[in-house]
Amino acid sequence: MRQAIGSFSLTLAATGAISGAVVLAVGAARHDVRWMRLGRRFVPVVLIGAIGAVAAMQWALNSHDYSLEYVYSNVANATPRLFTITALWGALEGSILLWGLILAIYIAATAHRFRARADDPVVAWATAVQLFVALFFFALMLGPADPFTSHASPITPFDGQGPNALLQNHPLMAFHPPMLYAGYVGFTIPFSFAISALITGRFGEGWLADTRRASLVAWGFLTVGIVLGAWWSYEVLGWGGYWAWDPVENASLLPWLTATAFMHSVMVQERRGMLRVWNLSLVIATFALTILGTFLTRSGVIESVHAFSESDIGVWLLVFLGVIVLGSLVLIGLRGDALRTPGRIDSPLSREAAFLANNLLFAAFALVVLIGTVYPLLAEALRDERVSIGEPYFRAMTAPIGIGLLFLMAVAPVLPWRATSNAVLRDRLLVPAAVGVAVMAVTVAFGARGNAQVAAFGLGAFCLAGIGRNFGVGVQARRRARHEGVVRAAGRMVRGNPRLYGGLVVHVGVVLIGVAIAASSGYTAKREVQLATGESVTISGYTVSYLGSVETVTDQKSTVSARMRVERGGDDLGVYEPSISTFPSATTAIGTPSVRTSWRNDLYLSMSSTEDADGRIGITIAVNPLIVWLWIGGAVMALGTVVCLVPRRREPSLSGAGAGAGVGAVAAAADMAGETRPEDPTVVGAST
Amino acid sequence: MSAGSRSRVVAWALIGIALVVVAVTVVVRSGNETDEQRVARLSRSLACPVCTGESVAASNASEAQVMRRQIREGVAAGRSDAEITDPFVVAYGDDILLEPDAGGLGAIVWALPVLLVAGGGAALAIALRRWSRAPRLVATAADEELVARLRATHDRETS
Repeated sequence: MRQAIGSFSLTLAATGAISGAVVLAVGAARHDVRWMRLGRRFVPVVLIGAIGAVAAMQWALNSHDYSLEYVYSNVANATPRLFTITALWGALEGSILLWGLILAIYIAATAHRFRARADDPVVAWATAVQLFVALFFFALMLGPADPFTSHASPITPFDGQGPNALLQNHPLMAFHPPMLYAGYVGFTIPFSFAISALITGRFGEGWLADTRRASLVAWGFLTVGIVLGAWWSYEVLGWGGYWAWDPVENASLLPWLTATAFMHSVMVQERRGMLRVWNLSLVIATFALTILGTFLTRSGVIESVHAFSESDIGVWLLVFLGVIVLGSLVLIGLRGDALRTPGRIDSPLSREAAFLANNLLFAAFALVVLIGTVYPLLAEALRDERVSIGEPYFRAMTAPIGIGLLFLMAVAPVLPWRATSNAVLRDRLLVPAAVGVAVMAVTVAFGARGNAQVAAFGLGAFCLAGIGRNFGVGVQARRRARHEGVVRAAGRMVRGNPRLYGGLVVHVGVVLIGVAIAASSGYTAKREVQLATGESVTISGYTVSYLGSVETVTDQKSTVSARMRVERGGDDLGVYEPSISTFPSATTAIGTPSVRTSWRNDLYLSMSSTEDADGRIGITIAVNPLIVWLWIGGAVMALGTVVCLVPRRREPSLSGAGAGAGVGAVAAAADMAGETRPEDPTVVGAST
Repeated sequence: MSAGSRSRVVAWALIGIALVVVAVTVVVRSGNETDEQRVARLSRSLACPVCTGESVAASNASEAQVMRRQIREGVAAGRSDAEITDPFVVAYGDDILLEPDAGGLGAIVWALPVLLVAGGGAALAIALRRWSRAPRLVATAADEELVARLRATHDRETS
């Protein structure tokens, strides 16, 4: 029954996708309005199919229908409800199912948003591309990644194997994968419009405006997904870190890097009409990297190059990736000459030049992550040589790039477009730079060590001071010109240019994360000790004593918790219980760390072994500085993204009596928006 | 030179001096790594032999715990980095090292990103130079008038 509903729904979605894609493509190619309108009708069909398939799977999971292989392998009778639901994305087939649903939702939302432009070939081609992508994923589920395969044995088992032990240990599992997928999948929309722009030859700024919101939404979800992933790994994996540069993490970082580059370079095209090919390439690369990431993480190629041929899915993904990359290259090549733009950049000290530098660094960052992830695979495949690349490489290569990006983030937002004068620079940078250097001096005086760390603290402060000055000057000008209170002035100022101020809020989040990464990568104190009952150990001011172990057994798992009393400076901070659990389905025990979080640092307790013959447990105690600011920074980035999505509200300009003050407000607003002031001596001429 | 600009020069000079002092302090201080930092660095540079994609620092597998203990002992005994890691390379092979070899084909892993930044930076610099030499267009009164007229219509339509 559920299997029938599921398989029928998948077939429905795939049929809808192929029909819609073909009808739309034919209609758009012939400029036939009736075909284009008909093609759109298939979008709801795909959505209904996707919802039906996911509903059937959730029904099967929650009713423990072990006649389905997927349910049998990923759920057990004792699995708590939350992890029964999240089992949908606990393994390959279910993840692709979720991918299909999210994609169908994006396509439907896009079709709804552009309903008034259904006769526009740009929209029709874009929808056709989206449906083509959807077709690939639904075909994958009808082929090598069928979530509704029957269980092998003819007798339905009474109990399942349960989810992977690591995936039923923390509630973040409910949020991290869907967020990440919402990010990955969302980039299908800008990709489809980029391809549509290439096909229709309308690759001006139109497709950028059409996809600005979709790109932002996808980028926001991906950002949150990555941060939640780091948090999950910190709270669950128990080694005290949040980022191990493993291929799965790198796969999520890659599209984020190119997408972030795009978020910046898009402004150069909007303003100056330059970088058309580059922007198209970045969007296509972002989408291609989401597919590459899926290939790396889902085909088994990481464990061994030779493993991926065991499942067909790797081949399917690789072929799809090839089609995307080659198809896009051919399209760009065919349009080559028409894509050239006559733009120029007037001065290296301008906003657009800073964006170019930003893009260079993001591209280098992405290249580092890509090579570091893929090189071992290539070395093994081509030369049968086993090589590992890990944290030392990524640290050495990304730290200078990160410092460079922090520097740009401090300087670029105050640079005007086109050109700048030394007076403007001095005016806008002197105080923030002084703040940055002062912070450096203070941190060094308090014992900070490490070039990268000190640079990150100083540049972070430089950046925050610049953003603070930006807000302060704008609010001040509005208050003077319009006699508004601080709150109202700030609110209206943001409403007047949400993209700018939202972007600056995102920058605040990035600074928090950058500083937290610098601190935690440089100043973590860690000890691994064996403790018997009553013994204690002191680290970075915390005294941790072992009180004894407690064992609890449930149907889901059996857990040994070590009761650890934590004290600092004579204050009792309570008892923390890191634990080790064994799940009936898993062979290895899973440790669950216990973390005491504070604004300054986290005390991270992780049990590595239960009591041995001498009654000693193995425990790792780490004091990780500023970790909480990673998660706060992630939340601030999400908040900034939401601000960027708020529609801009234009206000009538001031006139008449307030005109004198109005000039000041205009000048200040221009300052904020990065415009060069009218009286600025460096402004020369109109644009070409 | 006006009083305002002189005080600004002083301010920039102070910033410069402070930067130099900070840099010197940091460089002097970062020379000596503590034992704990050395253990952390070395265990990050070795792969856990029984895990996929985890370093000795990141893994809780018993093999990794044993290796961490051996590294700690090596550091305590004052052995060099190579003396500590070589036995692991002998026992598990070259791919136990997480840092690609800078020689041979592994060099491209290090060189490519550097070349990209250097090449891209040079290309940008050349393009900027060429652009800045090309004559700038100067707006005529007719241009200005056209822009003003379009702006006025645009404002009427959007407000």
